[in-house]
This record gives sequence, structure tokens and C-alpha cells, in this order.
Amino acid sequence: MPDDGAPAAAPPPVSWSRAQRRLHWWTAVLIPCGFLLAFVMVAWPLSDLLLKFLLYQAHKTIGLTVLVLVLWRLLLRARRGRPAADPDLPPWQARAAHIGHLVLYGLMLAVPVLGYFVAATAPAGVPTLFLLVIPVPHVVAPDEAAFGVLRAVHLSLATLLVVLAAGHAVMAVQHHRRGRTTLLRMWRGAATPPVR
Amino acid sequence: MRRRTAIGILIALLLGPVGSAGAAESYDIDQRFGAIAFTVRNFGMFHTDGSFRRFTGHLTIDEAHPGNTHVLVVIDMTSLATRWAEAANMLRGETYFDIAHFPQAQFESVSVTLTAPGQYDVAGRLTLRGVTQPILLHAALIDRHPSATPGAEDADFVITGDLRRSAFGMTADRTFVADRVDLRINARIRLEAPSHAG
Ligand code: HEM
Ligand code: HEM
Repeated sequence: MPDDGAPAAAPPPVSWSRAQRRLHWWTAVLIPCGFLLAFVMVAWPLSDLLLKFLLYQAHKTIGLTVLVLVLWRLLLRARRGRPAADPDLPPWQARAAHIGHLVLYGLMLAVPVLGYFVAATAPAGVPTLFLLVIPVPHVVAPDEAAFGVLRAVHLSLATLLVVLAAGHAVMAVQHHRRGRTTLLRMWRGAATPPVR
Repeated sequence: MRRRTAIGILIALLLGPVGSAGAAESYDIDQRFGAIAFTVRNFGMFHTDGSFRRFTGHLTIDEAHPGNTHVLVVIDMTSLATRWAEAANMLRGETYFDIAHFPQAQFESVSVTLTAPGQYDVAGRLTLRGVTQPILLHAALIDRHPSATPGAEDADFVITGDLRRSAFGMTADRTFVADRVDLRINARIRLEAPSHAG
């Protein structure tokens, strides 16, 4: 039978697709890199102008890449869905995980979008060059006051994202140590176990 | 009257010598009547600009001999301004304008040549960071209109030119900040209209 029923009616897939897994791990690598790079680039001396500029462009490129990957991931999740949680997982844990994942997705969208506005309002007026060669137009003009606020919010939410993602990773490892296949499913595409 | 014949002089300046003889006319130049701005490309992808907020100078126009027009401008380097304050701090520093040692820059014309109506080549000498180099500026009369001061008339000029900053020993960040710096100077000369014809 062709699989053309309404998405809501389709059963959830038994495993994460290869694309979903790849996208998850790419963001998991890029976000901490972009986060650490942010502090290096801000502290880098202005007298070393070229390198400071390159570090900023690297940060912005990583952040924009995260944004694109997350949008792609959400598209796949909307179209294909995600494997169901372990059937024996206590409902409160499943609910907590669900809310946690929603918050992570929200932050993964909000932090780069805010970053874009931080870059656009920065009084230095430096353009955003994706991969150093593709100019990303700034839709708002430099504005010192807005920059101050946006920068503080960008920093706070980025920190929250990294802290929550770290907690999320600890949880994933915990499940793994207790014999669940949660991590293996994300790592290798293993199927959700049947009801025991 | 000192500025009675100013319009006539301006016309002389614009069109070349006319028959009448007259004494040289002198005008003060400062930031109230203009702006000195510069632009430099970064990384070949975008540019940074800045300006000098204070300068003083003197323009002398010889009605009979427009070629004798002389201009001298002294720029207060501490008045350097950029959109981003940190960039101005960097430019004031030793690797750029080094204003602690060279608080002033100076431009003095050597010759002024009319190249077309309202277009002049102004050859001169620019002293920056204690180094004097020849520089050629181009001045264009862009507009003449009644002044805010009743009875007077303003002549607006745009003066452009470029220089190699390395010629003045300013070689910092060559991989990022281009050697060529473009200058754009807006100048307004206020002419008092003659109270009666002749
Ligand atoms: C996953 C995405 C991102 C993370 C985790 C992240 C993280 C951070 C952090 C932690 C800072 C604060 C550094 C500090 O103030 O000490 C920062 C600053 C900044 N970020 Fe991001 N960022 C991301 C995406 C972006 C994007 C997409 C852009 C621009 C297109 C961007 C542009 C900036 C800019 C311009 C600053 C300001 C640096 C300054 O104050 O001079 N960020 N980022
Ligand atoms: C910046 C880092 C990370 C972010 C932003 C992140 C984000 C997410 C999100 C939003 C989901 C939910 C996917 C969905 O329901 O569509 C997820 C799932 C998952 N993540 Fe991460 N993650 C990060 C790092 C890690 C790390 C380091 C690990 C492992 C050590 C990990 C293990 C997992 C696992 C096992 C799942 C599947 C959970 C399930 O089946 O419910 N993640 N991640």
C-alpha cells in the first residue's frame, strides 16, 4: 500500500534516519565549537586585526550553519517524525525529555538568529561573510544601544543552550549505562526495542 | 568692500581669467564650512570610513590670476572620528596616525589648474605623521545656491583624491586594511552677493 496517508495517521518510524542522526551530531559538534570560539574572538586583541576578523567570520559561519542544519532537521522531523520513546520509559521522563528537546530546538533557532542581529547592529559595521566569501546582507543598521541588549541576550541564551545540551548529553549517557538503546539509536540508527 | 566682487571672482575662477583686475580675496576654512572624510577598503570586501571634525585653513583667490589660488589646511588629528569608537582609538595609536607625536596634519596647495568649467586639479603637499608627500586632489563645483545668510550665496565643492598610506610610513595591517585611502572633502565657500550691479 502506498504510504500516502495523513502524517498523523502514519506510525512513527522505528529508527532515526541517517540524515537525522548526521544532523544531530553535526550540531552537537558545531555548537560547542562556536561557543568556545566566541570567547576567543572577543578577547583577541584589536591590534591583530586580520585574525580577529577571521575569528568573527568563523563564529558567524558556524552559527549560521547551525541555523541551516536545525531548520533542515525540523523539516525532516515534521515530515518523517521521530522514533517513539522506549515503551517502558516512565511517562514523566518521556514528557520531560520531550519538553527538554523542544527547549533545545527553540534555543538552537533563537541563538543564531539573535547572533545575526548582534552582528548587524554591531557599531564596528563589519559585514557577515558566510564561509568568508558569501556576504549575508544585514537588514538592520548598526545601533549601539540595541547591540548592547542583543549581545547580552545572545550570550545568555547561548550559555543556557550549552548548559542544557550538556545536561542532555549526561542524561543520554545515563540511559545508555542503564542498558537502554537511546544513545545507540542516535549513534547507529538502532531500532526502538519492542515492548518487553 | 571685501567681498563685493566675490561672485565675480568665483565666475573668474570657474571660467578662467576675465578682464577685470582685482586684489586677492581671502577666505577662512574650517569645519563649519565643510568636512574631511576618508574611506579605506578592508579585506577587499567592505570599507571603513572616518572623518576629522576640526581643521582650520585659508583659501586665497586671486581674481586676476586664478592659477595663483592658494589653499592651506591644518587638520587637528585628535578630532579623528569613526562610527565605532574603538576603531578611532586604534587609528590614533602609534601604528596608524600616531597623534601623540604628530597631532597635526597639513595640506598646502602648489598649483591649481582649471581643467573644465567647475573642475580643478589641485596639486599640493600633504604632511602626515611628519612625512611630506605630493598629492593631487580634484575639486568640483557641485552647486551654487542662496545661502542661509540673507543676501549671500554658497558655492559647494567636493574635493576628492587618494593616497597610499604606506608612503607616510603607515604600514600596519596591510593584509587587512588596503594601502589606498580615498579622501572626500566637502567645502562650502560663502560668497556675499554684490549689493548692486557692477
Ligand atoms: C550556535 C550558535 C551560536 C552560539 C552558541 C554563539 C555563542 C556566542 C557567545 C557565547 C557570544 C558571547 C561572547 C562574549 O560576549 O564574550 C557570542 C557573541 C557574538 N556572536 Fe554568537 N553564537 C552563535 C551564533 C552566532 C551567529 C549566527 C552570529 C552572526 C551571524 C553570531 C554573532 C556574534 C557576534 C557578532 C557576537 C558579539 C561579539 C562581540 O561582543 O563583539 N553568533 N556568540
Ligand atoms: C549541542 C549539543 C546537543 C544538542 C543541541 C542536542 C539536541 C538534541 C535534540 C533537540 C534532540 C531531540 C531530537 C528530536 O526529538 O527530534 C536530541 C536527541 C538526542 N541526543 Fe542530543 N543534542 C546535543 C548533544 C548530544 C550529545 C553530546 C549526546 C550524547 C552524548 C546526545 C544524545 C542524544 C540522544 C541519544 C538523543 C535521542 C533522544 C531520544 O531518542 O529521545 N546529544 N538531541
